[in-house]
Amino acid sequence: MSRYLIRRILRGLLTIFISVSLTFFIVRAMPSDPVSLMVSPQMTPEAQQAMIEAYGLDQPLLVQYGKFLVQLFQGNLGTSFSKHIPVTEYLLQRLPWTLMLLGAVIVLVLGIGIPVGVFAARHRGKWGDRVVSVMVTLGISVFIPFISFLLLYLFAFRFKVMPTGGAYTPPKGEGLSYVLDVAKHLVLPTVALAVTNLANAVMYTRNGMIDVLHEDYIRTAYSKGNNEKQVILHHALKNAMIPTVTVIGLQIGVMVGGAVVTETVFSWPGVGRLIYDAVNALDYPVLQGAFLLLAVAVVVMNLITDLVVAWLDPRIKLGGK
Amino acid sequence: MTTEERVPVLRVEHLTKLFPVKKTKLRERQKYVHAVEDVSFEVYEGETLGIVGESGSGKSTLARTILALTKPTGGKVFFRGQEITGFHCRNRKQLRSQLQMIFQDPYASLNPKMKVGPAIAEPMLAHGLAKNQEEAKKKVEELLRTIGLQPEVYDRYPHEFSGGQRQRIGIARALATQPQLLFCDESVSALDVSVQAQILNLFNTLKKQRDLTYIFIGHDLAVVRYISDRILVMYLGKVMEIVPYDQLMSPHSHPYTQALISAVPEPTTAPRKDRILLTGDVPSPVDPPKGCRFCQRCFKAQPVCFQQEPEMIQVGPDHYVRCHFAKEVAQP
Amino acid sequence: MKKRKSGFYYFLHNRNGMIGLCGVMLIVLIGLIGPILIPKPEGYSTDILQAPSAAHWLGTDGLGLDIFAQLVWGARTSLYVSILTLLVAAVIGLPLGLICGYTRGILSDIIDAVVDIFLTIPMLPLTIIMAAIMGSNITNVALILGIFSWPSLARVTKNSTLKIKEMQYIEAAGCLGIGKARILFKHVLINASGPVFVNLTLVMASAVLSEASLSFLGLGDPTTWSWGTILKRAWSANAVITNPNPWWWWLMPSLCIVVYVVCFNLLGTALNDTLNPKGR
Repeated sequence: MSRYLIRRILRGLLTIFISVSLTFFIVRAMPSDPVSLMVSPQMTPEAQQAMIEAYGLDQPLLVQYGKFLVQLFQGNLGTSFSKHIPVTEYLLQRLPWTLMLLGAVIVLVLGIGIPVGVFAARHRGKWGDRVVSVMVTLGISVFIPFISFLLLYLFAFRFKVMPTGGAYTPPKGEGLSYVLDVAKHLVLPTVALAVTNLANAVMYTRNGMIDVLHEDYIRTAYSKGNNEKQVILHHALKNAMIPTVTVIGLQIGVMVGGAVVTETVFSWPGVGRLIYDAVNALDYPVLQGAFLLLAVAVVVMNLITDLVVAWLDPRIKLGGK
Repeated sequence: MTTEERVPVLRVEHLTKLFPVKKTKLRERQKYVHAVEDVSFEVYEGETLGIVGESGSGKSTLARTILALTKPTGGKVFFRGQEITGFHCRNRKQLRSQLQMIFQDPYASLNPKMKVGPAIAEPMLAHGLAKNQEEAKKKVEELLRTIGLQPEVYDRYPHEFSGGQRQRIGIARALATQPQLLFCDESVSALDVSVQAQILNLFNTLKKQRDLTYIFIGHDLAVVRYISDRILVMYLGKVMEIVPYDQLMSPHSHPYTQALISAVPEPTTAPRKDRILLTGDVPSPVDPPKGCRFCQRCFKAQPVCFQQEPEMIQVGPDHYVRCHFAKEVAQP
Repeated sequence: MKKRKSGFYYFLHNRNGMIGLCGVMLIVLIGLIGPILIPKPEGYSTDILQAPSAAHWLGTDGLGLDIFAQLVWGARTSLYVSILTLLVAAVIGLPLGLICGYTRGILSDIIDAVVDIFLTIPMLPLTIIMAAIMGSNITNVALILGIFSWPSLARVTKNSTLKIKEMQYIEAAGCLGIGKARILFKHVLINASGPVFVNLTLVMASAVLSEASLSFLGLGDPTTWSWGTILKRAWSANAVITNPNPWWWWLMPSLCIVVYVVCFNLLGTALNDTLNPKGR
């Protein structure tokens, strides 16, 4: 277990380091002048000079790289071109909103995907399973803006039961009404972002469950007199969930990419929407910082799924694959 | 034949193969699976040596190590007097044609995307035994007839054949290089019993026609006994006994061999009286027992067996047993 | 002897696979021939936001441009992006995957680690940064997508090669004295290709999704029509929630994208089921 954990943590750190280096060298490898990418032309000459010195933009590449790492380690990601505030501060304002959205998606995926997958496996080949499998095929092919538009059109425009965007209705309320307001705004983006992952979760749970239900120990469990519910809950589900959780872990990077689009459509004030705004304002420091933050978030969430998988699969604790 | 007249085709000396075990903790001594340990034997021209043992006893690894399909950890292999350990010699390519192997699983040992004819022709062309495609095709068709298949199967894919037919194709493929020594690794285990007999008879016919020497590996003593002149019994990577066919029932035999013999079903309706049942499980090859490998399951075990490993003791012509009590014959 | 049936036979009898194949062929035809027959929609006209009619089969957008014409030109862009992405991903991913699966040693370990890390990094944000810096140009976008699509291809190639390498017939070929190069090409590659083909169809499908996402975020090529660009304009004009609703403007390009991706996914699944003898 300790060996497994340490390897995973090291890999996570390496991933973050490579993400950092990638952004650094991508920005520098481009034909455009890094000064113009890091320093806003609207700054005062003194502020520009301070930035150039802090990042050593007039010095050789390796020196720049070293300074970049040092600044990064101190939490300094530069200054936003458009908002004129430190990028770190700007990002940290937005991060909780993105985490809230991703958390809601994961709850939805696990809460609905696993029961539906189990249902499909138990009714394998019957009409219920067929309907689920058509939905899964459509679900994994879905394009996030499309599903978002469809949701907006139906629930915000036609039936007018949901807000069209944002995270709350201004002015910002207080107490329970504020929480309910945010929850209401959270529904559509969560559904839009969850669809693909939900389809994946259903598919992997179903297939995993079908495989597991054929194992000898399931037959043994039945022959001991357990009923179907007990067998599935106590014997099958834990094993069937291993591939599901693994796939959710692998999909987190893709999910974060989807969050950029979803937050853009629904004006959700998270890091994703920030990226969209930064693209349109050509705010390179913010773009770079947002990407790094998302990379760190993905690494942390991957580590959590690794732990869950290790908990579900005792073989991993013994060091096997 | 006396010992002096016989020419060893293959001589194996102290061959050892250890597989490292993957470590699970950060600080841990490297452990090994003792797959084959200190195995020595000779195979003579024209004979069939049977190697028998439970699964996991290292029989297949032994064959693979001799054929350099996996690197030996220690020991030496000689073919017609020349050292060929790991095939680190100049005539490696020639050796590949002279020593051949027929694999266990007739379903897995043929490339599913390759037609039967070209699959058999491939080794012929690789060893220059046929100069071009047409000559190879002619030779393959001849070979197919020898092993009891129609030449028309040349353009068919392996999945169109039954297990027995596929094993015939595997045999044809091995024979394509005109080998002198043929390893049959559990070559009939995957087949139905009726088909097993056909293939075993085919082996015997081919042996006479082509002056082959066989090393026949199997877990079923009844099958191995049917075809072999001498039998080598393996347990947990070590040779327990080397015994001529007619000495199998000898009272000097290793207790493990006796247990294997007693497990062979006899075609009789009389009640069986002397079935020896082995108790316990096969110990892990990672931590083999300290004394005799078989001590934990042996019905004759004495305290000395748990302390000291026995040497190979000669108990008769060509008959060697690794047991402290090989010379003491239990009185019935 | 069993009747001879090849994987191709099973593929032709796979209903989903044939739907996918026909759909893909139709898209290819539209993308190749359509733009020759239909002039490129440019500028603006006075027929603003017209509903589908005989003159404009799928209606017009806020600038009065014909949606159908935009979609046809968009199909060509999608194909171009898919194919270029596929080529870049294949050129990088296939050899690296093969090396990683067939050889053992430091090189293979390094490739494996790099693939592992690239699969973890959130690709869309990274692609956004690159596209933002390199400039919006459809070829750039395809190149960037290709550069970031190779890891999954390399991983699939590696796993497939690794599995085939352990098969008994590969050991048998080595035992028969057949040359290493011949074993790699004649035995390993041919048998490892099934999952690789499947992954190639998935790369093409996800390339279109990524391109559409980039265009939707405003990183598309302003001089080329793509389904994502049409959606971006519809969204900027609040087409989804205005009254009366020009549903054709946002619905049609979305449907195109979904149909394209579904067709490629169906094709991929069918290839997977039929090339793998166990799945038949």
